[in-house]
Amino acid sequence: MSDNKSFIPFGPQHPVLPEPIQLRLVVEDEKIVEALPTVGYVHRGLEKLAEVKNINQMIYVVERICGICSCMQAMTYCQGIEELMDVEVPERAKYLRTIWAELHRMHSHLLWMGLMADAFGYESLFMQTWRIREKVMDILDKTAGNRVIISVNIIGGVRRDIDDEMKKWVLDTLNDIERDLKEVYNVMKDDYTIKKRTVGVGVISRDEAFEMGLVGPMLKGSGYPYDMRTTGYAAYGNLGFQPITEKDGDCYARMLVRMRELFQSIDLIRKAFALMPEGELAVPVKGNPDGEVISRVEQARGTVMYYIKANGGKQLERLRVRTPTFANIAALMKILPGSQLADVPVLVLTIDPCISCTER
Amino acid sequence: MIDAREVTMENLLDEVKKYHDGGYRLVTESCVDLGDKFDILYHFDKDYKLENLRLTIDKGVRVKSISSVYFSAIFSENEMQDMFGVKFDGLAVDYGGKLLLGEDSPLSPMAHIQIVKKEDAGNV
Repeated sequence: MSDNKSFIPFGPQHPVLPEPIQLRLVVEDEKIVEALPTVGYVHRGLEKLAEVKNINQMIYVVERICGICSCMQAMTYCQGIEELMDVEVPERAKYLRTIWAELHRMHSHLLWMGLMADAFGYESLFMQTWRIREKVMDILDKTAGNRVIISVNIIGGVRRDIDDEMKKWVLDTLNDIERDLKEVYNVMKDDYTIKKRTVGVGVISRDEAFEMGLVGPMLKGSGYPYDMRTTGYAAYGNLGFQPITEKDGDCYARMLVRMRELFQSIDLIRKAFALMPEGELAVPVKGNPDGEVISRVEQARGTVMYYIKANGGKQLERLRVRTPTFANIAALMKILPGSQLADVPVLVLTIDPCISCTER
Repeated sequence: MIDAREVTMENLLDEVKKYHDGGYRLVTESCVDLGDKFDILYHFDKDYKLENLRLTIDKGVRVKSISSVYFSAIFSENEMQDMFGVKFDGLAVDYGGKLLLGEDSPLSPMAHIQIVKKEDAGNV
């Protein structure tokens, strides 16, 4: 290494990192010239458990891949098994899945907003966003009985309902959340310092985002309208969903995508409640799956993909999970070189990394 | 259900390049242990439509990396090296079997038959 180059290990323990990841940075003065992300600190081998747990037990295992998008992990898994077994889920269950999935998207984006605010040194803003997030957690708690891992999905439908009285309370709470969000949104959108730290920082062009296989706000922030909800799984096909995009491809654009998606989630939940039919919550499912299937769902961080291979037995032959951060982590190798060392926290957070997901 | 087109080691890179030039994104690669063989599945996406390639190889055979065509393949292929002990030639960034595993982790933990370090072989 030449005289003016230094090696800096950023992480795995660092104040800005909610989870352990190490960036091996080679810097020249304050400028990063090389960056290599290194993971492996929280690998749990959850995919391997599919070989010993039965297909129903695996729902609770996949929920633990990631707390923040646990509901959508289970939803992806259940939709895959249902496709393999040719199970038609009741309409009401599809709407309920959609509602809980959007609530998870909201609390994921709000968690990210708080972490981003904290990275800027805006502690009050951090607390404001997490105060709003608590209301979403309250909705999850009241409707599903738990704040984070709600275990509502089963193969064939859902195991809980939301009655009319609860629905009214949820919609009232969403009105409060929307009101509070508008205040925070305006601060984050227009604040001079936040703009200085994010506009033009970590730019990824539309072509680069596409080529690297990025997903979620990392792709949509570069102007590519790709979102699995467009395919109409669960109840999304009836909700008039259109992906939110920004065109500039920088940290600011990705922040705007996430914040605008919060309002979109509220609208989707309102529409889902308005259109949700009466009916059964689940259909009985007998037997074991056989064959191969790929199931994809749009989580808060991007598309998750489950490859499931079954052989008619109680356990799966193979479960492979490609989480959004696993796809987005390549972006760090693109946006870090050439950046200033002081921008590393913002650049790491802009991909909204979930290391538990990545390592499984 | 998925359709996966069979490829061989000889035409793998050509087939992958066709997808790349045809505007497909690489979603990921999946490895399945078949006993004495591995299935490696390559998943591509264009306009929400998935296409899959299936490469079946004997265990111990080195595989051509597709990271020269799709750079983002480095993470899937390094993960396969860690978890199944599949070795890749031409991997753009090689973590040496330590992307997810630590120095004292079991080797190839996802494979049905695990590779065991010689000094530990008698204790398994």
